Amino acid sequence: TSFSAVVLIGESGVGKTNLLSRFTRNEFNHDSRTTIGVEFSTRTLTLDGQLVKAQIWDTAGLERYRAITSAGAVGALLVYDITKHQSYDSIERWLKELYDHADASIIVMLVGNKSDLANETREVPFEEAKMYADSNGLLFIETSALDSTNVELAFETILRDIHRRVLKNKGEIPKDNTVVLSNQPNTGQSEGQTAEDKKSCCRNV
Amino acid sequence: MFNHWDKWLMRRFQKVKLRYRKGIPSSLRARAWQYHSNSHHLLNKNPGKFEELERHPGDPKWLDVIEKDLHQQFPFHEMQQDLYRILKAYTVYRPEEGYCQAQAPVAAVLLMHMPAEQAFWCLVQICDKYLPGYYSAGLEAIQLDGEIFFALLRRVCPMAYRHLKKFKIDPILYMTEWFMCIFSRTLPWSSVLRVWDMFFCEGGCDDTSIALYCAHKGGADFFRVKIVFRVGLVLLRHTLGSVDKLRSCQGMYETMEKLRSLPPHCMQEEVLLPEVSALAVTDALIERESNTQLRKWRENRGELQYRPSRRLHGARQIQEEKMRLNPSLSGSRLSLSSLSSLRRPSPPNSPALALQPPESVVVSEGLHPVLPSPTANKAPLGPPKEAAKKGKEKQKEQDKKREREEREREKKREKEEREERERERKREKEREKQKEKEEKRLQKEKEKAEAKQKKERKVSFRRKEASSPATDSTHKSGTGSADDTYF
Repeated sequence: TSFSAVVLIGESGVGKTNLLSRFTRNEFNHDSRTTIGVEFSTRTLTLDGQLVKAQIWDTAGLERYRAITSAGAVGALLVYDITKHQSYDSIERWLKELYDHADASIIVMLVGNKSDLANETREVPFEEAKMYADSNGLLFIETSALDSTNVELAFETILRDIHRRVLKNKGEIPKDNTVVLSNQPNTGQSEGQTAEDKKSCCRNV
Repeated sequence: MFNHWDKWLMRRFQKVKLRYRKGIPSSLRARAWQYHSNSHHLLNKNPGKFEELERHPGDPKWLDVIEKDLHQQFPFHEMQQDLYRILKAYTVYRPEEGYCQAQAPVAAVLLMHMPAEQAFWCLVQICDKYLPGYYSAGLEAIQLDGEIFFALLRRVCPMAYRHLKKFKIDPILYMTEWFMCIFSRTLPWSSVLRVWDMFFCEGGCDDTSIALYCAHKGGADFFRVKIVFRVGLVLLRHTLGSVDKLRSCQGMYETMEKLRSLPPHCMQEEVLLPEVSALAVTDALIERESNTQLRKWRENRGELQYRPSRRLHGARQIQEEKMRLNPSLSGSRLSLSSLSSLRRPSPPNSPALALQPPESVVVSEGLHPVLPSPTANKAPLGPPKEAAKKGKEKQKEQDKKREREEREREKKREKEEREERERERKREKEREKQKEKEEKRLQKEKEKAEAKQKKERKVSFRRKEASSPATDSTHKSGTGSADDTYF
C-alpha cells in the first residue's frame, strides 16, 4: 500500500466537507457543520493495480485558517462553488497561499462543485474555469457532492497522478514524509533539491 | 450571592469557586456567567450600544460569511437570527477582528441562556479577556497554546505525548476545535455547561507571573487558558493514556480518527469534571511551559504578530480590572493585596513590578490571591476563613490605604519571597512523601506482576503519582486545614 496526502481547500461553504464525505463514506449531509480547524479522512482504493491509501485533509474555509492548513500535502483539491462567483474569484489567493506553504511540486486540481445546480444558478461558466486551469497547469473538473457526479473521478484522477509520479520516482530512496499540517515552512526540503526529490512524497510501506 | 457579588468575589472567592466546581443551578447560570465575565457591567455601562451596533450597516464581506456560515451551522431559524445579530454586532464592534467561524458555536451556547444583548457582551468578554487572539487572523494564539498544551501533555501523560509525537500529530490538528469552541462542539451538553461554569469562574491562569515575565521581557501579556487546558489533557489521557488504548490506534489515521470520536464515557460530566478539578497541573508548571514555548516560538518563528492587550481569565481578575478602572467601587483593594501576600508567592521576577506602569501593578497584585497557587489543585477548596477575617480588619483601614499601598506592597514582596521559599520546602517534602508512598505501592505491585509488564506499570505509576496529590487535598480541604498545610 502506498499513502497519498491530499488537502481540500477553498472558500467556506463551497462543499469541501461533503466532497470528502461523499468520497470516503458515500454520504452527503445537508446540514454539515462548518469545519473548524482541520478534519481528516481516509479511503483505500486500487490504482493501476496497486492499493493506495488516500489520506484526505479537510480544512476550514475562512481566510484566517489558511496558515494552518496547507503545508505538507502532495495534492490539493481547490474547490469553488459554481453558483457563487465570489468563491471562484478567490482561487487565485488560495493558489498563492498554497504555493507559499506547500511543496512546489504539489499537484492541484481545480474543482467546481455543486454542478447539480448548473442549470438553475450557475455563475461560473465551465469554459472560463477550464481555461483558467489550463493556463495555470491545474487539473480541472466539475463535481456534485450532492448527486455524486464526478466525485469519485476527481479524487481518482488526482490520486492516480500522484501515484504515477511516485512510481516514476520509485528508484529513489523513499523519504519519510508523513504529512503534518502546520504553517512551519518545509524546512526539510531546500531549494537545492531536484524536483524528483521533492516528489518522493508517497512512501511505500 | 449575586446581591453582594463584589464582596463575594473579592473575599470569598474560594467559596465561589467551590460552588462553580459543583456546577451552577441552571436557573442562575445566565446571571452567573454574566457576573463572572463582568459582561453585566459592560452592559450597564453601554446602554443602547448594542442597538447602535445593530443599526450599523456592517462590512458586507463579514455579513456574507456570517450568513453563509450560520445557515450551515445552525439550521434552527430563531437562533439563527439572534446569532446573526450578535456576530454582526461583534464585527462592527471590533472591525479589526472581524468574524471567525468558531465564534458562532460560542455565541450559540450563550444565546441558549440569555437574550441577544447580554450574550453579545458576554461574547465580547470571552474574545477580549478570556481568549484574546484566538479568533484573530493568523491564529497564532491558538497555535502557541497548542504548543503549550502539548508540552503539558508530556508531563501529565507521557504515553499519549510520545504516541502523538511518534505519529507527528500536531496539536493544532486536534485541539483547534476544542479550544476555539471551548469544547461546545465536542462534549455532551451537560458537560459543556459544567466546563463553561468553571471556564467563566477560573477560566485561565490565575497567575500574573507569566504576564509579568513577558512584560519584563518586553513581550505581550500571556495568561494561559487553564480550564481549557485541563479539560483537553483529561480527554487525551482517557483516549491515549494506556497501552491498551494505544494498541488500537497504531498509525496517524487511526489516532486522528480516535481523537475525533473520543470515548463517550470520559466526556460524561460525572467522569470528566472531577478529573479536571483533580488534574495535577500546577500554575507553576503552566507558567514554565508557557515561557519555554514562547521562547521557542520566538526562536523558530520570530515575534508574534498578535498582541493581546491582556488576558484576564476568570471572574476574579476581571473584577479586579473593573475595580482598577473604577476605584470608587473598590472597597477592599488593600485587604486584597494583603490577603494575597498570605496566599501567593511572588513571581520570580518581582522586581519587574517596579517596571510596570502603576495601573498594571495593582491588577497584577490583585491577581495573585485568586486561586491558591502553584499547588493550586492541592488546596483549592478550603474556605478561607482566616483570610477573610484578616480582610475585615484590613478593611477598616481603607481610608488610609492609598498612602499605605506602596509600603504594603514592599512588605508583601518580602513576605512573598519568604513564603516562596517555605512553599518550596513544603513541596519538596510533599514530593518525598509521595515518592515513598509510591515506592511502597510499586513494590507490592512488583511482587504480583510479571516482568514483561514492567513498562506498562511504569506509566500507570507515573500517572498515579501525578494525580494523587490532588486527590489527597480534596479530602483535606473538607477539614478546612488545607491552607495551613500548604501556605
